[in-house]
Amino acid sequence: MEFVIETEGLTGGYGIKMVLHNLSLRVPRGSIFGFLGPNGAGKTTVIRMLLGLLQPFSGEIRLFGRPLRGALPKVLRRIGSLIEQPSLYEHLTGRENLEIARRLKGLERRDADRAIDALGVGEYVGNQVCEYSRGMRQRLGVAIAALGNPELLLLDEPMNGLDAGGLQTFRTLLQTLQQEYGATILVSSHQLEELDLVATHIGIMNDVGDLLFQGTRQELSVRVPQELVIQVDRRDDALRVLASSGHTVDSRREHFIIHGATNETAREVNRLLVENGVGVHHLAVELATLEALFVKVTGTVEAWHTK
Amino acid sequence: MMPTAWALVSSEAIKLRRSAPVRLAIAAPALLFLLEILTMFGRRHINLTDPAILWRDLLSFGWIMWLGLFTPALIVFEAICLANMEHNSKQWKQLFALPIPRWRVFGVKMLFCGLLLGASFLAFTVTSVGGVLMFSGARGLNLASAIPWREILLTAIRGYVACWLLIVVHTWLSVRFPGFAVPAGIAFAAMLIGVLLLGVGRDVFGWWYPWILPISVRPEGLYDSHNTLAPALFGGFAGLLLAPLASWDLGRRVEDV
Repeated sequence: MEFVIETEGLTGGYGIKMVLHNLSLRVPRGSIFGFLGPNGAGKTTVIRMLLGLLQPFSGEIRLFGRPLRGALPKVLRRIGSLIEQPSLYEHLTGRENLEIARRLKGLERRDADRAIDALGVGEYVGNQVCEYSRGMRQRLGVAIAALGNPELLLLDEPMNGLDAGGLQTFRTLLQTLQQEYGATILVSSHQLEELDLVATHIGIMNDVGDLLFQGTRQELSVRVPQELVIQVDRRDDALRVLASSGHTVDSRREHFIIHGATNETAREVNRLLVENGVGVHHLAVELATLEALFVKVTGTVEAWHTK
Repeated sequence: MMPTAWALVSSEAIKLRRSAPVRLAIAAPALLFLLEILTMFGRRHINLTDPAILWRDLLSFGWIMWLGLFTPALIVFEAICLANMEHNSKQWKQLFALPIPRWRVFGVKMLFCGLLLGASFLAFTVTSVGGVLMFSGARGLNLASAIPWREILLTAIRGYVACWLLIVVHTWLSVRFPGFAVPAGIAFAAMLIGVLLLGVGRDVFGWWYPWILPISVRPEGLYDSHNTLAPALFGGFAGLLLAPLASWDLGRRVEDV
């Protein structure tokens, strides 16, 4: 597998404050990599290091297979980025802000027009940025990052402040960039539900800068047992049948749950219930949500919900 | 190399639209023009015998104010406003995430501080002559035929070149220290020391002190034969030498900005 981002033993922080500990991150080419972690985990620090804005204390960063050291600033031509909140000139219009970024990236005028269309900012791009709402700023920031369809897009909390329409546009943009242009996208976000809809790969950091998991969304799901949700017409009979066959059943008001179930478990449970004359209304193996997986992997709910 | 440099220059030009640095560049010479007019029209005694002496006399107030006070202050404010465009919108990180060498970003900031000051110098030069011509017209004096363009332009060019050391120093300070207080505080303390040095006399301390370099190109009067070239050359070359050092220092301190 080819990795666009590779870090090896990356350690670093700000001044004497250590934020990252021996981080070895691998982002495959063409992936949408959801980068998760509580506040202060070091996600922004990693992104700043990948862009050469912060020097690591130790370790190595490789982008597109080559060491970052020595490749700056030329390698930045292949990267689009949005770091924390969008940096925009308040006294200029949205188009003027885009124009500055376009010129500095050495792109053509039509690239700016494409970004305007893709992010749906055409309606207000002629207004001064000081009149923009938070969501409008965020859209413009993403448009600037996505200018020229970069090979690698680093987005730090890009979904903050976006409304439902903005989120949908953003998802479409990410999928278009990935599928049509083969872009690799690293997105750090707190909006797990949104990330769940687009991410092909996930990386999870804990609050002291350790990488707890990285891999595909499916590999992450394996970490947390799936749940078999069952609805039947004769609850007592069903409970008795399942208990006698050795299944531990979590009984809820409307349904039962068997934790740690597989497709094989589902087939067996269905057969048992039907053979014993229990009518099965609903039987499904449900994947854990990204939030559930995150909580499971980090082992802390508090850290997440303090945001 | 050239396309990147052009991209930086043209981008910086876009940033100047509706911006404080441009307003300052216009306001400073305009304010001094008004002061000059008020001073000229308030005069009671006019020496009509020699147009050359009268020109020197009438231009004196404006040029002393311009080179001694307005120019150093204007450089400070321009540098702060140009740097704050990036500080206020937290643009440095976004700029340095672009494929541009950092030293060029700072180089262009210095260049634009210099260009804006140049525009103000030009505006002041023209309006100061215009002010004298207005005055001469109102008082029925015939001075239009004796405009000492050569001497005026020499003073303007030498004064402008002498400013480059200050341009580099103040751009450096303004980028290094976000906000107004620190760079302005340092600048005005330095200017105050300059005023004290002028009071003691340049013969004692010389003209090399950066904040009195601009006024040193005009030591006594507009036409004096005093060596006015040395401060200009010193300011220009020192600025030229210091600019790469400042750009290097700012580039390596990127984490601070």
